[in-house]
Amino acid sequence: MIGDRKIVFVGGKGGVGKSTSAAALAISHAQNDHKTLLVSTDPAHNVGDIFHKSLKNQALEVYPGMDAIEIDPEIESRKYIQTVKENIQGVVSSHMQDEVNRQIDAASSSPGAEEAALFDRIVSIILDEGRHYDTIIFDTAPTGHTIRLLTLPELMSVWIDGMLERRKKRNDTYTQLLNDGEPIDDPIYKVLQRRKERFSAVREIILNKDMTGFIFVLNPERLPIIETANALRLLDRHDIRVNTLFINKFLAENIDGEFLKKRKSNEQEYISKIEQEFPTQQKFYIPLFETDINSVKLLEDFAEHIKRKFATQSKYE
Amino acid sequence: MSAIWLAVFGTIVFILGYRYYSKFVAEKIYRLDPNFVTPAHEFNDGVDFVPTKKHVLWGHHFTSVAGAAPIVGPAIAVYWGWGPALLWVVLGTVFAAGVHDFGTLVLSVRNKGQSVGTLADKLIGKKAKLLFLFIILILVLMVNAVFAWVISNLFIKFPASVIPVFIEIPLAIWIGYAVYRKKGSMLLPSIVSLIIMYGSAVLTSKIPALQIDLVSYFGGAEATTLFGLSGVSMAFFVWIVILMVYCYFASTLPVWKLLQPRDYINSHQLVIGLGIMYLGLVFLNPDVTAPMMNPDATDKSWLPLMFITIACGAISGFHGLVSSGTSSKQLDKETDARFVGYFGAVGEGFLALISIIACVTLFANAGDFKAAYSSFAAANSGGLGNFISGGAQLATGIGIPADIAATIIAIIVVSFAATTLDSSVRLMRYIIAELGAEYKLPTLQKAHIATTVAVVTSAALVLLPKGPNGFGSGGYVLWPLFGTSNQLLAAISLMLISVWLKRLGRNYLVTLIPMLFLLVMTVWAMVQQVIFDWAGVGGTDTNLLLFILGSIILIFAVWIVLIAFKELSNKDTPHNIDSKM
Amino acid sequence: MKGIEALKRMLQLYDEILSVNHRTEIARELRNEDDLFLLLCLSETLGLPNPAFYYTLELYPYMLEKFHDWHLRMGMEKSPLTGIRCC
Repeated sequence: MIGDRKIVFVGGKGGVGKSTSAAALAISHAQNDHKTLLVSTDPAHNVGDIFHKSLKNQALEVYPGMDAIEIDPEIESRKYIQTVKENIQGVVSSHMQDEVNRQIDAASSSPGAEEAALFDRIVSIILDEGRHYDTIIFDTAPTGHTIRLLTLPELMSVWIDGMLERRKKRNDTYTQLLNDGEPIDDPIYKVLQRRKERFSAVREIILNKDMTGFIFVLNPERLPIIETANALRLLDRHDIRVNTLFINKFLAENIDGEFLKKRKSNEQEYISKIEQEFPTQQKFYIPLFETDINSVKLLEDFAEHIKRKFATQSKYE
Repeated sequence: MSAIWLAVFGTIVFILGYRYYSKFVAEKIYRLDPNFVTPAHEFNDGVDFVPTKKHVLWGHHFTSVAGAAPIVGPAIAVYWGWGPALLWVVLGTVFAAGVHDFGTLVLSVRNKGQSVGTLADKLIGKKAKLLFLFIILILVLMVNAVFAWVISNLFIKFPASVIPVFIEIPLAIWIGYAVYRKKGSMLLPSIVSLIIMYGSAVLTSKIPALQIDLVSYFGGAEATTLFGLSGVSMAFFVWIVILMVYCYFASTLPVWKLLQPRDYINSHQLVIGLGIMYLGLVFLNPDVTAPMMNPDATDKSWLPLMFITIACGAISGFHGLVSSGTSSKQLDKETDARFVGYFGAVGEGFLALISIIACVTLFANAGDFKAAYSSFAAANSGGLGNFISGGAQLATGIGIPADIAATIIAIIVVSFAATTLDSSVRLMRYIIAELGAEYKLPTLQKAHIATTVAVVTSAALVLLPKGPNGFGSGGYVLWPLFGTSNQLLAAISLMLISVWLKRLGRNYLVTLIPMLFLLVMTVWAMVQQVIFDWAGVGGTDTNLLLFILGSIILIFAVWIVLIAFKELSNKDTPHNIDSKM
Repeated sequence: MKGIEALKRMLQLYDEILSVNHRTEIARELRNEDDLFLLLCLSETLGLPNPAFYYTLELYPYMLEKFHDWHLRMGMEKSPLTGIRCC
């Protein structure tokens, strides 16, 4: 199961119990002596609320053996901008610096900037900070956002490859024709190359089925099913296979009352739909709890459910 | 009389001219300032504006202007005897070309390295700039046509030169790639290529099967081929088309792939050519067999025609384009301009000088000479061939067999002409693009379209005039038109320099007199040819094409005269100039 | 030996003369390529959407020196970026 994987992405529509599932999953890993990191990329962070802790952009322990981060894209973006500005200091004349800084600040608020900053942090979590952990679990934003995030490396590599090729050709021409064969030092090439390597590394990890797993959380209701099917198709097109589904909040067998029985049969339809629609995925059915999961204790119960289900399920992939 | 005296005479006058006259002009008229911050230093952008050492820049300037023109012109003009040609070359170089090349360089340097066209706009006005552009356009059109003819003619007359010349192309490409891959200079590979080329020349000179003689391929001079063209016509046609295709590619490839290595090779040829001919002259010590003045040259008077027959080598407007186009942007110190500009013109003078000497020593006696140069038309079509044979004879002085020497010299002339031709096609493409921008025709600004227009019009122009051998062989009649447009360009540049000097309150006779001389000769020559030769007055055949072109040039010439008169005669006090002047 | 030295220097001079000729064109081609690269990096600010724009920011330090000359060459008389007022 996911337990062997190093990285897990948990996605799903808002309100299906995604963050709760991610947190519970994290707890179960922590309980198994895996040093775990839970990362929320969802701008509407829930993780901190679940643990009743105020989480930051840096790792904080929320449970024995488990740290959590709520990525703040604005902070990330500002850090990046700051670095750029510092690098410019040495290069641009002082009277131009103010002007340039103004320009860069404007750039940081353009659409796409926050998403890019978010992705940059994910990259450094996976490649750098992640080395201190056995498992990293990403609680990602509602579906569309997640898909964009996961397909970003592919998009960017096309751009970066193009730029690198141009730059290399230009450097080669310069070397051969104007520099007597002495290779020149091109900081631009170096920067682009570094970025390409990092993006490639992350892309490789994400596509590596032995290292990374994807879980989608849904409820046995019409819209979540449709959305999950769409999401899975889209991700599949980018070579990302979602092998595990958490079907959350399904009604227990022993319920009474006309109303609830009616809902149960309704739900049964959806469950068969789910079985039909997602034949190859590993499916975990997590029941609807009496109260909402608002404490660590309840999270641990949730985690128990997951562990039990795991024990009884055969391993797919 | 030994021909060496001609060389001695020329050399002495050149040296005296450089030493005294150019010094006078530099100090008293142009007033060069060694501390002036030249555009090369002011802008120094690493691309166009790069300060360059005096000797290197001279070499660059000289190799850019040296071409086939200072060879062809004199080879024709000796028709009137060696006297007029020699005097015009020698005195023209010292008093006209030197001043002009030097002056355009200085004028541009003092004005942020701008080219003559832009300066025309600045000093006189927009109309002057447009006039200038159109004259250049006609000039490059003439250059393209004439040199395409020159090359085709040489391929037909000296078929042994074909293979060595064409080998140069793959050799150049090979050099380009080899140097690109493994760094290092092009010097050694280009010398090796030259040896291969000349080696193949030895072979082709001796083995008739290797001589690509298109005329015989088409069945001989009189044979009739496609469309009723004679063998010679067909040969011209094919060569011209091939040349235009070559120009198209040369114009659009990156410079390091073909043009740069080829220019390396051709520079070696320049050195070798000058070397073997001058050395040969010294050792062979031939007699001058042509008359000093040819009394039988009656069909056309040397006045005014000789002065436009020899342009490059006496004075050429084209050099001003190089001076103000590239050399001015690379001038390190203003005082270098004397060496680069004036002495550059002197170099050209030496080339023209040896051309004269080759032609006047070739024939065994005066009778043979007059038979070969029997009329102006004969001089026009046969002059270049005479140069090659004459140069080959000079080369025998250092032991090179005449047939091989002839092939080699033919190769040299073809190479020079080819360089001029493709630079000219490139220049024409830029001008077309600039005119496209000026008159809002964006299609003309696309590289391939502009190049196609350039190549097609040039081909059309060279193929149309009817020569004695039929369609396609008459390109040489354009030579006077080439000469006139070149001189007109020089006249405009001299006028600009004069206007500038006037506004500075300086004596501008040194530029005014050559300018007036040129204008008088040009207008006179054009009137004579347009009215008497090409319009059909006085019993000669009409030649519509030449009539039209000649008239256009005549109109431009008159226009310049009017502008000059207006600008130079008004009693303005100095104004509108840079404070640094 | 002085003769050899002089000969070597002459050959060097000769080589320099010949290579100066085309250096300009090559340098110009390279400069055009640089200009294009800069344009691609700045495209967002000039109104051309570029998904990778955020990542081009870190290239700015290495490209900005030439910004003023660049915009002049591109035919823009004044700086096109409201933020960067170099002229």
